[in-house]
Amino acid sequence: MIFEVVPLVLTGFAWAVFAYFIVVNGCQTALLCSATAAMRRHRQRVWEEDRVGLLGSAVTPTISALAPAYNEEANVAESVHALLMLQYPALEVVLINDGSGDSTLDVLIRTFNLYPIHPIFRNQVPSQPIRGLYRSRIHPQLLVVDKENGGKADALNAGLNCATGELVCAIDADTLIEPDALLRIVRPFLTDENVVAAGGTIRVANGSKVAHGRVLDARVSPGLLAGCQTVEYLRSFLFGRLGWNNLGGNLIISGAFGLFRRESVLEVGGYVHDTVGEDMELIADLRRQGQDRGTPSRVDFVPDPVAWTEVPESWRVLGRQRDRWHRGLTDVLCRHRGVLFNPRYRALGLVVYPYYLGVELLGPVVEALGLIAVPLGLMLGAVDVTFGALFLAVAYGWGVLLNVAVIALEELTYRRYQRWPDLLLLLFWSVVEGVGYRQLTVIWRLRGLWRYARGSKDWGVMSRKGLGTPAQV
Amino acid sequence: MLYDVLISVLLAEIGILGAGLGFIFGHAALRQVRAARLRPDMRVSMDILARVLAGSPDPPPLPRLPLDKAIEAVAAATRSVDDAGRARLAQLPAYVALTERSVRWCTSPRWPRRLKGVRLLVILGAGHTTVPLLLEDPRPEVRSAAAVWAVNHPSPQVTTRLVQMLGDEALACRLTAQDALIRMGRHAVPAIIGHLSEAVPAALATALLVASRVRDSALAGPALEHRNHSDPAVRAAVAQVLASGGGTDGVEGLEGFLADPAAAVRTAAAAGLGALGHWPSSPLLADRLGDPAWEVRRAAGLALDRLGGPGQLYLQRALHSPDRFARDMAQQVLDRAGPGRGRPTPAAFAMKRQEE
Repeated sequence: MIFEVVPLVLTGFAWAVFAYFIVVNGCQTALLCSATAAMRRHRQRVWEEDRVGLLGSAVTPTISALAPAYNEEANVAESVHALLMLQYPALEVVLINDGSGDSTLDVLIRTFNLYPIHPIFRNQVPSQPIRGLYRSRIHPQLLVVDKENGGKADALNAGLNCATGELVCAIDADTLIEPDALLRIVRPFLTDENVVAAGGTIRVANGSKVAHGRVLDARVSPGLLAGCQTVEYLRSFLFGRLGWNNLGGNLIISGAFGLFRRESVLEVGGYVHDTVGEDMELIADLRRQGQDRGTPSRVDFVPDPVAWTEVPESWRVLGRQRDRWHRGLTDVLCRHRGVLFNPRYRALGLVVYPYYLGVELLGPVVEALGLIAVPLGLMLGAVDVTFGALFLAVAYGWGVLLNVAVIALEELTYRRYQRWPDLLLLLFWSVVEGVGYRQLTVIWRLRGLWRYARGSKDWGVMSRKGLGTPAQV
Repeated sequence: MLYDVLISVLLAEIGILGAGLGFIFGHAALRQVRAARLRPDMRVSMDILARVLAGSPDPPPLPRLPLDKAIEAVAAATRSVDDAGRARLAQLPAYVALTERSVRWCTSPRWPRRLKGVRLLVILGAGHTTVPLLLEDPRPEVRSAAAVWAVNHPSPQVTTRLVQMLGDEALACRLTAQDALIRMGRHAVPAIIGHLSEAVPAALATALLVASRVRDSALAGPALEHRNHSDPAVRAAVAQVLASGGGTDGVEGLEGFLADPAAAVRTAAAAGLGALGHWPSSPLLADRLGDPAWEVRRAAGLALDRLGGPGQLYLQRALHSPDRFARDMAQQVLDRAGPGRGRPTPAAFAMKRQEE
């Protein structure tokens, strides 16, 4: 009996995987088409736009760059210098010393000639107690918040309380922002009242020449992990995020580099402490509560402002990062489950949320089951060998095709990697990425699901090599 | 059947992949070859343009460049030149050709092309007859770009249209119009006065805020006409205009606004009096230290601080006020350290959170 049922189940499952594959890749292809159209329109709009004029404008919204720092005495001064050099007419840099145990604060006081100011501010979102505020005599736009340790979300909340900008830019620990990135990322806020948040592109800095918090020469890393992640980030940002602009808006803005309307963030209660996906949770909150109240709720992605990040180059660290990302995603989707197929939330409930649930969250489950069931079916004769091989070839080919399409889009538009060896390396990694690397991410994401089910909320240690003299705020 | 489909898909994938790779390599190769081929011509062009700008007589003609490179060269030359330099450039046949082309683009039925035309005319500093018409364009992108052009071409018609644009339905147009009017400065004053004098001006608060940035005393009178407007945002903007202009009427107006029912108006009035440095208003500002709204208390405290000796005296007195809010704000302002002040004592620096 069992020998009759198992092949039937496996055959059924193989068909289900096949159908899922068509849906997922159909979605990805739709996103790619949407991203191509959005990119074309974006480039038409920004052609010869006067960004220098924006620098002298009296009506640009003020931006507070929030940079949490924890035990960063070695790099904090250089990081703050890099932030102060960002091109924007009304920029306030808010560095939050999150209860560092080393001499981070002393370094800042010494380097920037800080003097204490009386903290006149509203405590609008919860955070650990603030011990003091300091302003620089050399750079009056620099504000340093010294607070008790409470983690990244808590530090950002303290920054939100003390910042005075209409917009706040959350900047991650290992991010190098290009000098004109703020002038570019502010664009949606100057053209659409309904925008509450905007995200920029994150690119992989590993392998590039970095000095004084700037990427001087963009190169593709020859390392397997960094190389695969370079392709992955390109795919994720250049069409994954951009494509959503036309299809219902984004649900994710990278915590490494995003711009938010401060008032809207305060209205939703700031960053949530009890999650590992606080950046995604904030976006979901902004969109959901905005739609509930009928207030602005649009989240846009802008492709040309670029921030560079150092990605993990060790299997262990990368695994921990992906595990945490997936736990964060699961947590956010669980918290906002009321949005699913709820017509009240329009595209968010009917398109965006179901995609994140079906493709991003459950994708690894289906992929893992497929990876088990198809070979098992082949062994038991339930799945035809030719069919299985053809299916795997088509699936792999489609993945490579999407990668190559993104590289073509990059070549047509921004061309950050100017040299032939880099282009060849990028194409090489786009072919290699689908063999082994992607399957590993499936395992890590499954581990994330498992650990979420067990209630794990730890961040894990994220050690990195360091990028020349980077901004390690 | 399914095999056939899968094989077809696989073959299609291979075909598309081949085409994609061909495109990427071809594009990259062509780009590099083109860049190498055009580099000498670009260098010669830049050199000739520099000589033209330096006033060299009879410069040689510019080498023939593709459109994007011609735009790049001319844009690089024109970004920071004065009118005389621009007039010299305007005699170059290549410059004239670019101007003609952009004027043609401005009349295109396709908005991206019109946008391109206006942006190019902004760079070239031309288009006196064409661009003002585009301030009425149906596309906000084009209207907004035309407003950028208007900054350097402030005719009465253009400034009037820009003031009307303050009430545009598109945010980009409203912001660009504000920016353009502020940059125009005194050229914008007649149009703003005309707008403020209308029976029911559109986007009144925004127009007043622009007026406050233009900082012309002639704007105070028309602004004061709206001191009793029902919208607090308008009254607050009037206060800002008065603060930017000063004068006896302005001070009286601001003192009157300190008793306004809206907190935003009282805040603007307190900040304005502080900015004007009008020390005789100290008693009125000291009264506002006990205001129910935190913003007003803070603005009053900071204004008193800016008034110097008299203001400090009232802040010291407020430390003994029976009103605990006034006491607290006075304490906070007096404790506020600054580059010109000494380092506060640890006790004074102790955290006093404002929970609201």
